[in-house]
Amino acid sequence: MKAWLWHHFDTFAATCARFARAPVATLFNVGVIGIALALPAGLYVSLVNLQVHARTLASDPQLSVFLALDTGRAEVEKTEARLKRHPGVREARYVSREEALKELKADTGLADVVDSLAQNPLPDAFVVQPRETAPQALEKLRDEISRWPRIAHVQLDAAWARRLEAGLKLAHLAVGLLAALFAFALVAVTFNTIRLQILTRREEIEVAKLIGATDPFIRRPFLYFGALQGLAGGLAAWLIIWAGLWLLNGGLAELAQLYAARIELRHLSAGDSASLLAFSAWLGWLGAWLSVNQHLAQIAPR
Amino acid sequence: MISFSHASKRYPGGLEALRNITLAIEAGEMVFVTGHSGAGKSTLLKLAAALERPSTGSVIVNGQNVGTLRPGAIPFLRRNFGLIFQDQKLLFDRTAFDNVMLPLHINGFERREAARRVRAALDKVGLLAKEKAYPVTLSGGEQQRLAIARAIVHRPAILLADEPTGNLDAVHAADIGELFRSFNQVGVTVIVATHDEAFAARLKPRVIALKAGALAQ
Repeated sequence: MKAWLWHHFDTFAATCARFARAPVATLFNVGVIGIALALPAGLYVSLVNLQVHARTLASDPQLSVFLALDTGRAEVEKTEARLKRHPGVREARYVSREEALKELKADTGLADVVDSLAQNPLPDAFVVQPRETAPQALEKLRDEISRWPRIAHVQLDAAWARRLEAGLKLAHLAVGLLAALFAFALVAVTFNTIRLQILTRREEIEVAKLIGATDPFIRRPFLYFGALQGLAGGLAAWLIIWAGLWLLNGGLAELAQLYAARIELRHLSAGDSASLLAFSAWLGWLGAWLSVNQHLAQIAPR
Repeated sequence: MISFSHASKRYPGGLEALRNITLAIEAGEMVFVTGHSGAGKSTLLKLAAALERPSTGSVIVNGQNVGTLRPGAIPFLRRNFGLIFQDQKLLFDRTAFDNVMLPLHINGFERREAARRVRAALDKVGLLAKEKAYPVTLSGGEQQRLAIARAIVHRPAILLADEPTGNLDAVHAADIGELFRSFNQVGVTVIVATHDEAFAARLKPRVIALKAGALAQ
């Protein structure tokens, strides 16, 4: 067990030494991987920021609650009180049927039509500002209120919210596709790096095989190399995004001052950062694994 | 310890390197395999070390049939051997110390114990002062002794050497012969393939003579 740990540590140290021996090549490899990862990860960061700002900046969604036509004054007040007590409701404004008719006349230029009506066809209504703006929460609130007595219809003005969600979902999909493409690029870069290493260390592999090295033993340093290179690439991507956001935030601060608003782009969350690093390390490992399996069998001792 | 039973080896292309070899080598023996170039000495050693499989017949090493061994078990069988190659196969990108360390690394030895054994092996072949030297700076004889240190560092039960004195003068060859004798005296089975008859005669080993791939009587 101790020897096994020692061996792993040794492999790790030897791999680091190999990076240090070829600093320029290492820098370029890590740079290529970093840039390849920074593109989808950067887009993801923009998307997360967009989502945050869209939710805060966009106008709040509303519910229009229409009462039955023959609702009496007392029942209107009861409903109003109930709406205002409801925990999901931030604000409820009463719009009487007379007021609504007046607005209709004024806003739409249908004065003649409205005047010709024998009686007011509009119901009493409430305009409700909900506390939560997620589409699911809105729908839940709508279904709940529509079951109350004397409620004829509840109209949910959530089209914009759904559209935004759909748009963001599409953007997420695009980020996913991009990530898949660049992940493939990372695997390919590692594959080739390891292939070259195997070629240059052919002699060593041959001798090791001759004196009884198992395949996992021979594979291990290459897998370490791939995983560490991937990890370093992930770190580079993280730094690229960080630097990009830092620059953008500098510019945004000025803009925000002009608009008297606070706009700041957030970096990847701790969880997302860890995922990025783990994913890049895994991809590097995968590229190395594919390469080693492909090329090691060709080296048979003679 | 090693037994050949009607073993033949035919290479792709039709070259029949060994024909119908039946012999047994016991633990602790010192055996020299002699014959002209192309007589099949190297092939015999490769079969004994499980580097190649016989085309027909069987080769049994430590009770294991080399021909039917699954590939995953071969590295572990090879750890019973110390191999000395005609071209030495030293790694020129690392020091003498690290060259000798390689088998211990593969066998998973603990670091301090491994370093101790490496120094013991280098001392045995008289290269302790050159542990930090790179093989390219060593003379031909020193390189050969370094290869021997690497072969014996993990204390194998069987030492296999293919033309160990191939490019050495008589004095250095005698040194190497003495080394082999000392290993054999502590119980190591030593099998040497050589065409150097003077080298063979001095040590008075059991001799297996090959002629055109068959045992010469």
